[in-house]
Amino acid sequence: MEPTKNETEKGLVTAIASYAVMALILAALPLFFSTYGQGLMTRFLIFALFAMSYNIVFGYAGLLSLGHAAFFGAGGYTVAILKFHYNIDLFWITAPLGILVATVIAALFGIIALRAYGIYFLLVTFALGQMLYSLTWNVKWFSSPGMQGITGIPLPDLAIPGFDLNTTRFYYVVLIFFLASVILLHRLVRSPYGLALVGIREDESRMEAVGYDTWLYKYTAFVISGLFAGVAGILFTYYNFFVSPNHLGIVTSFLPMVMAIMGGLGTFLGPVVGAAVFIFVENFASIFAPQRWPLILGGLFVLTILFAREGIGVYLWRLWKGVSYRFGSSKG
Amino acid sequence: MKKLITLFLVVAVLASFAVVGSAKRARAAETLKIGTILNLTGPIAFIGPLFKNGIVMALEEVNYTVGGRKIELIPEDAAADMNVCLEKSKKLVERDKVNIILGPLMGDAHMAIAPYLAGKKVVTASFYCGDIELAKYKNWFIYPTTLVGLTVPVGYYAADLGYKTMITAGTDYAGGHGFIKGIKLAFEERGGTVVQEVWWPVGNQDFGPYLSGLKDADCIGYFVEGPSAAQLWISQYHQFGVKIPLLGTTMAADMPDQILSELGDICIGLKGQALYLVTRKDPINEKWVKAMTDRFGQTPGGLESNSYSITRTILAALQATGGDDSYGKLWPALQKVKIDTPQGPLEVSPEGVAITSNYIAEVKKKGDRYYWDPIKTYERVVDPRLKK
Amino acid sequence: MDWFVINLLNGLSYGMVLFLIASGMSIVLGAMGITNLAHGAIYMVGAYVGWTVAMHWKATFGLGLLAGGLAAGLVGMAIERGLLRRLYKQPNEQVLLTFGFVYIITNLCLWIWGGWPRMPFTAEFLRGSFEILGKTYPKARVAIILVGLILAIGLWWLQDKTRMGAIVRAGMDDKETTMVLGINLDRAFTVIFFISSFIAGAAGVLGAQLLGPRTSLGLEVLLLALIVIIVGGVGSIQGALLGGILIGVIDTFGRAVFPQLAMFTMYLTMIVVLIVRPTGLLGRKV
Repeated sequence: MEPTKNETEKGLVTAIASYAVMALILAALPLFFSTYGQGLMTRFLIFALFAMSYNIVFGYAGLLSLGHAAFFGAGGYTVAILKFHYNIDLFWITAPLGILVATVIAALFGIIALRAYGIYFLLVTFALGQMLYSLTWNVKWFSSPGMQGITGIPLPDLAIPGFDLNTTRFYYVVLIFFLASVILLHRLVRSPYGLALVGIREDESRMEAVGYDTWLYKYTAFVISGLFAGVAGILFTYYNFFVSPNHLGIVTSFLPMVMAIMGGLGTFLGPVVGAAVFIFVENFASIFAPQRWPLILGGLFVLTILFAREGIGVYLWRLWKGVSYRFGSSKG
Repeated sequence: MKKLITLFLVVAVLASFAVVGSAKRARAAETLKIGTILNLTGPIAFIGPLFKNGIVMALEEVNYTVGGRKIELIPEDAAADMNVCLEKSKKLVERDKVNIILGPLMGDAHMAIAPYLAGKKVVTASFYCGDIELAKYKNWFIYPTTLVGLTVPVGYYAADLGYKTMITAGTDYAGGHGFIKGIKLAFEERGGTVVQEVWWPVGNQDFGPYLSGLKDADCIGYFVEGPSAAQLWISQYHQFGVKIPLLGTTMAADMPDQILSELGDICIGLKGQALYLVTRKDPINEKWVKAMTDRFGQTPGGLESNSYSITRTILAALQATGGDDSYGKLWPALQKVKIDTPQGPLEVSPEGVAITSNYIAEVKKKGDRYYWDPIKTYERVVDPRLKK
Repeated sequence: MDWFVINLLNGLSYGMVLFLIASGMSIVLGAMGITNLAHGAIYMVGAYVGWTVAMHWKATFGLGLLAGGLAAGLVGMAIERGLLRRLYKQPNEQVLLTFGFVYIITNLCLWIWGGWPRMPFTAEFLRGSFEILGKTYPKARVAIILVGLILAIGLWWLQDKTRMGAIVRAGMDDKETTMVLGINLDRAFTVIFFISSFIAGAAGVLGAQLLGPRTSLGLEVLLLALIVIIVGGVGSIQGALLGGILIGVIDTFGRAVFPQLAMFTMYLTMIVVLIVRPTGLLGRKV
């Protein structure tokens, strides 16, 4: 059942074409928007990245983690601390360090968390996330005066002479990271490693029997997931100009889960769709119904579970298929 | 490939709303837009509408007009989340094109939005005190004064009563620390000693452990972060039979009449600092209370007074600039404002911090009505750390 | 000495509330494998309904307790029968669904009861305090400890000494065999869910003597329940009791001795237990 060489080549070409199209669309869109709209798109991309990172550990590896914000916030806090305590603005220093810290924390947490199975895994990841939250809340070193958290983080310095970042330009920086991550992660899940993960998710004991070191696969998935969450976290701190303990908290941990599930778990672009739906609905629901919008959001969750259980992304994809079939499209 | 197209459709459709929305807004360019960020959802959701009432009252008084321009108020929900506050600030500034924002209430939200708003040169007013850190951005109208400035009267009053030692008790977050610092600075300035500092976490509902661990002192100077905490604090204080006299802060805001009547007789004689008192005998106050009660069907409190006075101040500054709400004109005009509010006289310092009076009040009972009665006035209260 | 006793009593009363909160969720998790994140919201419904009956309509506290429990039980049952039932063995969907309900229930409570947080309330005869070792101590808290103990014993008896309890334990260990033996597990599950939610609602009313009803309870209580379950272990009353009391006492003494560290002692306990015994101190292997 190995794909033939021709098929893999064709797969690669399609893939590259898809990336290119996506890149073009996302690069062109903001030109039509005000800075506010661009900001919204930036936020969308950051959360899409966060949700995609979560999809690796949850959608592909099947591990229900409830403390994912720990890595998101760790990346964000590193960048903020570097600025606040050491006055380091240089993106080429802060970003790699942020990613490093997030990855190290994921590596540490992974070792503890993977000692637990099933529902306990959920509880452990939750506990670890909360610990980090409580640390940043209580320890004064993690806060700038007047608040819990660190504020006053300006857009970073790219060390390109004469080129300063602003909202629009930052969007493109985020876009580059987003696209790079999409490509990397997509190659990952399509690779033998990714397929093995799915196998472990479906039936771990069978995979073990065939000789896979399932623990190692799960662990690496956890860490990779944390790494990309850290990237999203770094970008988020620069987007907001501040970082707060909430970025490590339970509500933030829920967000990528909600987005991934709503968009379609285990599909690659599902989380991106989920992020889009979430961000834009949240934005508009709160404009039209400022006091009732949590109700709308909650209702949306429930409806998704009941009627579009595989996620809105997959639901729409089926709709599209249905539409194209109806209009006589011959391509399946 | 098809998935990609689906994704594109979804994103484009949803994002197009943003475009449509901003087109609509661009039309009304002559109106003077004032944004406000209120808590309409979340744990203190009941506070939002009260602040809004105060603003609305001030705007209705001038018929929503100043300097020949029509005023449009744009309310947004803070959702008790600093991230949301920042998002809403961005929306107000970039989509709705406001140059003035009233609120938000929470200190951490202030810190979160301050760098952004300073960059955009938006005059912002805090609803209830702000950290002195905000002054450095030079676009904040800090009403009624800084955190520290607000509670200074408590420290002085404790010394005036002859107390020599004090326990401070407060909520462990930036706001709480600011308020307690005011008490401490003032009390120590008058020769008193703080023998114990007690801190509990935000949202704490069980004061048992802290009440059981109190040392001996002449008084307890305390801060709790809202009506619900105040309810619990006072009732548990009595349940545990603590006898050391209490001197509180932000009393009228934390314990409006509804809370007093829920607590009942145990709160008679309770004393503390209160910024605004409905019962204060003053013609401007009495007129305002009547107008508010007629308009909104309930007796106003400190929250409405704050937002009302803030709005009045902004309006006065706008009056002086002839309706020009650009930062360059508005900010200097703001510093020259001098008005009388229901709360008392108001001036503004060069740093943008308001200079107001502050009061010590006591709970009294008349018939079956509980109310706060002002028993002492401190005029022109300032944060000792500001040069004045 | 009296400082120690007072704090111990504080810890026990808090611990009892925690036990009641967590017990329902733990049993449902262990017996039905259902992660019900709305458990905290159900607690909140109980607290609010209890308040309405006891304080607003001025009926007795006992009636409020019953009403709160019933209302919560009904809400829980509705969620289970109507919706969760379809999601058997799908933890993802359960998590999302029940989390969505937290949002919905919280906002509905806000709508119905308004955002004004309510004062803690208690029965007439429980107002006031005892004298213990020369210090004053609230009667209500002693009552919580006693009621908690009674409920704990009752639930334990249900779990270990009744047929229903045996069914639950059997179902936890081996669902298929239990069903093959002709036991109507479906109906048993609904009953269990009702009981779990009833307890949560009653806990809400009992806890309301310490923490009055407010809309932030939904998430706050969920957090606490999860911590207790981690420490005590899933699926047993004993686990929930041990976890609840341990956390209650550690947290109380932690605050009394290191006020700055507050929540941290709770999390530290969690982590230690996780490292030493990942399934919780008295957890069943799930």
